Amino acid sequence: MAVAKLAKLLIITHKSDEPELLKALQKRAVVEINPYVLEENPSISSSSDSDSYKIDDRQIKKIIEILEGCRSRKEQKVASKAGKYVVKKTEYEMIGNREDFKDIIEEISGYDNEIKNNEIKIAEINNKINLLKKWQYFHGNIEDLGRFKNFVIRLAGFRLKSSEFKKISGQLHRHNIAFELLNRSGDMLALILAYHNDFKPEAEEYLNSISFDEAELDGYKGTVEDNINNLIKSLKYHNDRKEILLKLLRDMDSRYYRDLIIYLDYVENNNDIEEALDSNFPTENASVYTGWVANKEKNKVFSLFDKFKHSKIYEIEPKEDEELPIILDNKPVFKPFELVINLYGVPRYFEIDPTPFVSLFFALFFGLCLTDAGYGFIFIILAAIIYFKIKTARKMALLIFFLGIFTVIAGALFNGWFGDLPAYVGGEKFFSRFALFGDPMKSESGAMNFFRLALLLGVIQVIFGLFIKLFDNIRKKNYGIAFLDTLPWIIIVISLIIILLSGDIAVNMQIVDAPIFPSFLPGILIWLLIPAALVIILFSAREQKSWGFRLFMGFLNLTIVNGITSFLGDFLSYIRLMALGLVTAGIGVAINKIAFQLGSIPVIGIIIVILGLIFGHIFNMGINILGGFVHTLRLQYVEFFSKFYEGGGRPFKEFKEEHNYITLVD
Amino acid sequence: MSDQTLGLALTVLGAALAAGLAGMGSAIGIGYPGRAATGVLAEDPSKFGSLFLLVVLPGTQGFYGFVAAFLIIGKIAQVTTIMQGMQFLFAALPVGVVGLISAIHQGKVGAAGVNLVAKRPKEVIKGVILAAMVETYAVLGLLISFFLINAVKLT
Repeated sequence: MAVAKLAKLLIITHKSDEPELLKALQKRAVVEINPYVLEENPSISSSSDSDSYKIDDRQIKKIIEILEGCRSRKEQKVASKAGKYVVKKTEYEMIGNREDFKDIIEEISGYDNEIKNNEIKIAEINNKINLLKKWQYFHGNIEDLGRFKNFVIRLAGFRLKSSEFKKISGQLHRHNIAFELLNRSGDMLALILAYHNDFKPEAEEYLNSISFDEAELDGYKGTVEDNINNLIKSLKYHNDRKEILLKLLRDMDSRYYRDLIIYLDYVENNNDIEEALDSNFPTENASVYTGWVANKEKNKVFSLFDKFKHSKIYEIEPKEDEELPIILDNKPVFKPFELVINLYGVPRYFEIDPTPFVSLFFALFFGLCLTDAGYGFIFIILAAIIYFKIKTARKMALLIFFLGIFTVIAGALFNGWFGDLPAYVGGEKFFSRFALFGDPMKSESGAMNFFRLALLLGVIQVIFGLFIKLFDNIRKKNYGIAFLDTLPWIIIVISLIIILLSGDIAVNMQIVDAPIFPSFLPGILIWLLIPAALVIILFSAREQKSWGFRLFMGFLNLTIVNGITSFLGDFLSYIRLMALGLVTAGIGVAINKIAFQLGSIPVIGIIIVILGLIFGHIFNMGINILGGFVHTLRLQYVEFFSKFYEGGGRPFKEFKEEHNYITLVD
Repeated sequence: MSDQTLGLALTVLGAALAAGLAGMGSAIGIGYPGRAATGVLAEDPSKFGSLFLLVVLPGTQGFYGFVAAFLIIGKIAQVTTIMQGMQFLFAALPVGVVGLISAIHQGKVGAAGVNLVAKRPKEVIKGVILAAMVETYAVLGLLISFFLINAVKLT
């Protein structure tokens, strides 16, 4: 249960040692490195004059994208299935130090640019060909078309039915326009029109009034067919060129792809070192850093400095108001649940780490949201597979395992076995023996038990949160918060619940079957309740200056602002556990019913049943895992954390190698 | 028309409303983040996993409605009077109406969550949790419908 204790480091190193030292620290991956900043004179920016040409990671990524883009679909499929490259350390270093990547990158992007140019050309030519093809039945020279001294000749395309064509041809005659039908395919007609300039005004007035498609062939010479043939020739040229370039690119892909990926990984890791180099406190010959390391790991770092003769490391005291980075440090059992805290925000350095408190509730609530022992067993099997197959995901496997266990327990107690599968395949009696709380889908008492359990867990978690706040504040010596803000609420909430459970109201509300506590208790508890309520009224707004306003705010705090109503709201919020559990059961039951009804079809019925059950339950698991996870998180964050936890710390960021693209082996 | 057939018709209407209204809500609700997510995917297809979470979230209301409808259908054979039919009809309303409206609003929060993921992909869970805040009331609606359906006295 804790935030790991840290030591602050001061590292001074001669420039000759610096890169090697940083690399060694990166390998250890236990230190957070920060630039050393002198407070008096803000850092003089060191203009690192890097005259050598540097390849940055974005460039490499772009090149890799180009290479991946030129692959055939089959190759892409193969590549997507292949995992990360496995690279030996020696090879990694060798590739990292190679100098020919600049040329390779230039060559590849050169090919790529040329391919793109060719593609633009190809698109242009295709457009032209499509345009010309419309007029391919015109066998004359294109120069013969146009507006001449005495007459006009135009090519026109019409979309006309044959009856309409007759009408139009009559009209053309009437307006002294000569025409000849070049081609007709379906409704599409291509006509050549000619008229003398003497009739130009009336002819063009008529032509403007009907809609047709006029050939735009400016800039072409010779026949349409010749033009098309020429264009097809140049299209072939560009296509061939593109193929050749693609081939070259694929060749580059097969030769350099792996190297580029490894190089990208190398460059990204070096970026961190270079950033550190750039941001340090500059002097002529030495560099100064500050760093953080967990106390446990301190020796590892100090021993490292034996190898570097020109570097020194000291442990120094952190400044008083300095914010320390946070490493969560929990027992292995709780470790998987650090996820919950990391998502919300890690604690501040002197706050408690709620991971252990959250872990049990989280697993239990998740189990209740699923409430299906069958799904729980699938979880456990899955966890085992992940644990033994994927070594890096063991924390995840452990989390799934815990969630699975609680899902099995919750499912068994409420008779959830893949919905109500035992009712169809037998064993109903055997499985229902575990269902100590009844079946919420079949009996009202089962549903009520679930309802009560959800409420009870809510009450327990909220009061638990209040107790954490109490002890935490006593530990921090914030006695005001502990005894004026927290303890009275513990008394009020517990007393009110006991009073409720010892009278008839709770019985009427079906929360209990008979009063749990003897009826004389409320008479006694009222004397605890009144002083506690008075403390809240008098002291909860103690930062207010005027007494009138202070009492008014105190009264509001007791009732509606963070008061009794908000506690009531918190408790009721836990009912969602029941609702989500019911949804899983409900959909499960529905899936079974539908599947087995389809099973009455002869011969293939049995196959449909099996497929329906498998896919149905996978689907049900999927949506309920999502719902269960999110709502369980919400209960922790909103109802539980609001009682004692703020978060807002800065996570520790170790200086380490990260291989996103490859797997490095010795 | 006999009492029984009218009662049956009302019960069927109840089941239809539970599944229909909540399902409509989910369909509209998924529409909002779905469109936003498609836009983000155009820029960065690798975000599909985290965006998917936000898009499917308003889909749960449809299932709440489905579960309530299924519970009603399970009892349909025992309905003999108009009043029982009316009771089932009213019992279906919480999950139907709340599902309809909450899914739409959850979708809007989800669409905002998609914007969040577009800028800060690591914060996806926070977007999901905020969207789940809206869902609380759909859960409560389902719960009340569940109790109401169970409370209908059948002969």
